[in-house]
Amino acid sequence: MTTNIAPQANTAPAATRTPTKAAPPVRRKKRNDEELSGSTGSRLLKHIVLIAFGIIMLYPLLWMLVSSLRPNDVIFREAGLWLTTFEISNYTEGWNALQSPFGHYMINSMIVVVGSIIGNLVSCSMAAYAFARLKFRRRNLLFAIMLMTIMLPIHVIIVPQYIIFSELGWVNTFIPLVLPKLLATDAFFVFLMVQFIRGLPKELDEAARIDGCGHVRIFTRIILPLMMPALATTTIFTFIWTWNDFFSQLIYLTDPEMYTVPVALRSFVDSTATSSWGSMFAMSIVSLLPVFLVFLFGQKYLVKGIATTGIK
Amino acid sequence: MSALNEMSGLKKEPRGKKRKLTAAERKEELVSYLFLAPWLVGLAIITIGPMAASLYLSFTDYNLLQPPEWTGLDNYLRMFEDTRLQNSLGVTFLYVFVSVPLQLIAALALALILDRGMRGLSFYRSVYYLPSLLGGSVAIAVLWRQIFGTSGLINQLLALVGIEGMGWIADPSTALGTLMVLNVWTFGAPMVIFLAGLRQIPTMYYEAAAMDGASKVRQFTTITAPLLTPIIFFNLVLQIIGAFQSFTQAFVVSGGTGGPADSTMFFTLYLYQQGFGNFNMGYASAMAWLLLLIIAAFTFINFIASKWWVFYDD
Amino acid sequence: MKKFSRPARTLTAASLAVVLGLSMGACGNGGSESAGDGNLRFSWWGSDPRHEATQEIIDIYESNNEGVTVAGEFSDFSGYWDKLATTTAGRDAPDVITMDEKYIMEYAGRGALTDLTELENLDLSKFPEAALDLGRYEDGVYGLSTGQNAYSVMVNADLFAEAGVEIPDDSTWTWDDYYEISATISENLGEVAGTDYGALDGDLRIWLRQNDEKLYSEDEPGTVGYSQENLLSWFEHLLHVRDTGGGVSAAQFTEAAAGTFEAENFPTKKTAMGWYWSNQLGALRAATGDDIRILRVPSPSGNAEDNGMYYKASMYWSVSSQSDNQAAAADFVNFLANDPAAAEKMLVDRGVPANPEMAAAIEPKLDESQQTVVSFLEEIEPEVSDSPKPSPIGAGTVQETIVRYVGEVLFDNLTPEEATEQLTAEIEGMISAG
Repeated sequence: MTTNIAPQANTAPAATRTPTKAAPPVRRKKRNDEELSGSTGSRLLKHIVLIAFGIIMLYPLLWMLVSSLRPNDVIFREAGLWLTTFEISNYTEGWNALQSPFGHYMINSMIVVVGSIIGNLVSCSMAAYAFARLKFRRRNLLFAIMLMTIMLPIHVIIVPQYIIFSELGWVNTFIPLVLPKLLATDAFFVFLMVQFIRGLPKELDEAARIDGCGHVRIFTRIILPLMMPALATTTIFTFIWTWNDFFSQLIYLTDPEMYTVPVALRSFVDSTATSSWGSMFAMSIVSLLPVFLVFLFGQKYLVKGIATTGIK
Repeated sequence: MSALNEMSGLKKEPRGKKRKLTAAERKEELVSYLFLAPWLVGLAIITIGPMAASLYLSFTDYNLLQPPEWTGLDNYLRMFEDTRLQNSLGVTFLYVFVSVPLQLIAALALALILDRGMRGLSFYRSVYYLPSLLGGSVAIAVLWRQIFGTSGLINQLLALVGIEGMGWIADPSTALGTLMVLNVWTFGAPMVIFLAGLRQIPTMYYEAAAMDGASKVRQFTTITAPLLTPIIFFNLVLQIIGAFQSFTQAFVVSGGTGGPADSTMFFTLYLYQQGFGNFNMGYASAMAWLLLLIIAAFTFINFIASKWWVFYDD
Repeated sequence: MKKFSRPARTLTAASLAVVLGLSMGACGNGGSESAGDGNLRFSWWGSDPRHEATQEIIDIYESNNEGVTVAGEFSDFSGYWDKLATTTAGRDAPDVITMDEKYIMEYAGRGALTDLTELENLDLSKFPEAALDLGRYEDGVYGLSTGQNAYSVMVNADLFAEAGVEIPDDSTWTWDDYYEISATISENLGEVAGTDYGALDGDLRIWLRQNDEKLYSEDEPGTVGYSQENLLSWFEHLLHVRDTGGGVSAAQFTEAAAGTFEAENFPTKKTAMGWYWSNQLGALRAATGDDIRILRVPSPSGNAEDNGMYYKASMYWSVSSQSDNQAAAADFVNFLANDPAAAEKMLVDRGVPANPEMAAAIEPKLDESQQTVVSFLEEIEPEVSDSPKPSPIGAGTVQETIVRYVGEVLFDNLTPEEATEQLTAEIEGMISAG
């Protein structure tokens, strides 16, 4: 359908301004520069607006950082960001407050996260390729079923699912957390990748097929490299969502040695008596670091799409 | 079947009922199932069983501790009389209709600004994504009270200009609003997806358009917007599904109560309270299937509507 | 459509397995005392100081009992119950379970717990009958009190001094004194209000007990145990506090109800009086940094014997009916309940031990706050009448429900009459289901 979108994009302006097509290269260059940078004034304005909004966006993190340096009883009495004392001990105490050093829980989380990422990348992209590019009977039915699987809230699914994993003897292992990802149960990512693959020009795989490529080769050599932004998105989201996922990790992991970061963080908090809020915030900051770093580096791959791979 | 065709949004293949598949078609079918294999196995082992179980439980009285007892349609009929459930539906609908469009607009606008063409973009992107990293952490509960509480930041700022604030979180008329703000503020996820989508638009289109002297607005309406529609569509569908299932933020901010006065009692929060708080897992399952029907209806409408505004390249 | 048959069959099989699993339910697995390998699982909720102390107790027990291992499982309060419900539904509950007053009947009444009186390794003889009653369901004892608490009024002596108000004599003070003090403090301090209202199920219970009634009927299960006029008068009493200016604003009350202890009004010094369980004294002192004192609740007559105070089990030790290790579990509970080595690690974190020998054993190790609590509970003992039975099946969210209605009344969304009627109907709807 959109094969005609791109031509439209050129032809529509071209129809009205045919002469520009032959515009001298000098002018084109100038225009490009303008587009990239704009005038100094507007550029400055843009930065000012972005920074102003950025401060609002950053406020929670700054507040958490400040709270992690405050004594427990001050956290709830001070709304501002002024620090009067530096309670570094929140970090040392928080790190050692539970049975294992906090790093232990971060390693556990990392195992679950890496397994989930690999699972989602491999299995979801395969399913997505089939849905987006292949013809098979019952495709629409299966696609609808796939979407339905994300429409039921986890709270009614968890008990039957627990019974299955418990019968299999997999409770208190990472299997119930990782295996579903290896089996593409995260329909969010399948659907995401379907949308991305459908956005890729079909001429590419048709050309490859004429060259004698099978589906496996088209998938691995053409589609996967081209959907880098979708894969990066999947990686980043899987990392963050798994890193923060409290409920299923709480349910499936029983031995404190197996606890992950979100479960460990909640262990600082008791709604009926004193909680170690300072330690909780300190360890929250520590556990945010890997996620933030992953985002910082991962987002570079977000922008490595078809635009930069040089395929035309 | 035709409804399913509409729903998937994938192209309908015209096929005769009894037409035999050609060898090539049969091969493609085989390849398809190979690609789908992991998903199919997951569906059979992990997904469908529990879904079917919850459907079965929705017709029973099940308290988690004793075997379920068949009660027929009782749970479904009970929903008609449950005023708290009806209230929670109202809260959820209001939340979906207000916060999803706002969040998507914010996400798209920032994705366009942060896409390219200036210095420090990766820094800005990371900063704007930060709130989404915090997600539903317990810290948010405390933070939100520090901002919107009676002696919170907002009221302190209002006091500077001589306006007397109010208990934004505590007042039933504004509590839901603070959750909408929280949702809009965590626009990072759809923003990232938009960014990825923008990067998939071949630069050659823009080069060609620029060569033709198309203005930026023109480039947006003729290139960016149409080519981004599959991604806009994806975000719309998934954000609606997600918003209907909103749980964590209300749970964390209200301490699991849905208060004040049930004003932040989302449907799933009420479902959770029924299932785990009151041990009415049968009723909770019935609620979940009602929610599934509602979400499926919205998704269906979305897919139908998408025929008119989403453009695919296949 | 024949093509569907094969996948359909697989799916049916998978769901059938789940349904079968569910239908076994919690009971019917009847753990025998002989089976089991002596590896116990023990679960509790709390924050890190409790996790640490409890792990030390486990270590002591393990070193005394070669070949027995106890695996501790802990989480925060709300996660604890989600997990326990799920694991119990999956017939995979921990052997030794920490229970709460809100849920013990739920689990006991539905066959998930074992009658402790039938376990040979567990000696209950040191416990007073009244303490055992707190965990009684029908003829059995399904939870053993880890320690007692009493709902009481905490006062911030520093704020009282600042307001120029004297701390009342709690053995004679009346509700009128309470109203007057609250109003005076609010007036003198401006930013600080007199009281936080209380308004949990705890003080409703006290209010009803002062009128010789109970929250839940013990004769007619599934109904409330109070007459409408006494619930009505309780709402009116709260409105009176509000209208005389003695309480925090409705907004502040509702904000505090979201359940972060340190963010509540009394710990953040927004009120000079707060309603808390006796064991929270130490935490309140830490949160405020002020001189917090513990008082009896006011009574209508000025006679402390009429104040309706009662002991509540802070938590319970229970043994799962699904356990294959009931003998070993009983032995471990026996250690927790009757061994000074365990008591000395626990101190009063789980309430003041109901076993008098344990209470005596820990006395020398207590800090000043803890000692204050212990002597407070001893002091009120002559006045405390029989304690209420644990909340009935289905009552798990009654506390939140009460708070919600109090909020509605304080915001004037409901009249006390409407709130009385609707709250009663809602509570009965919850508890009659059991």
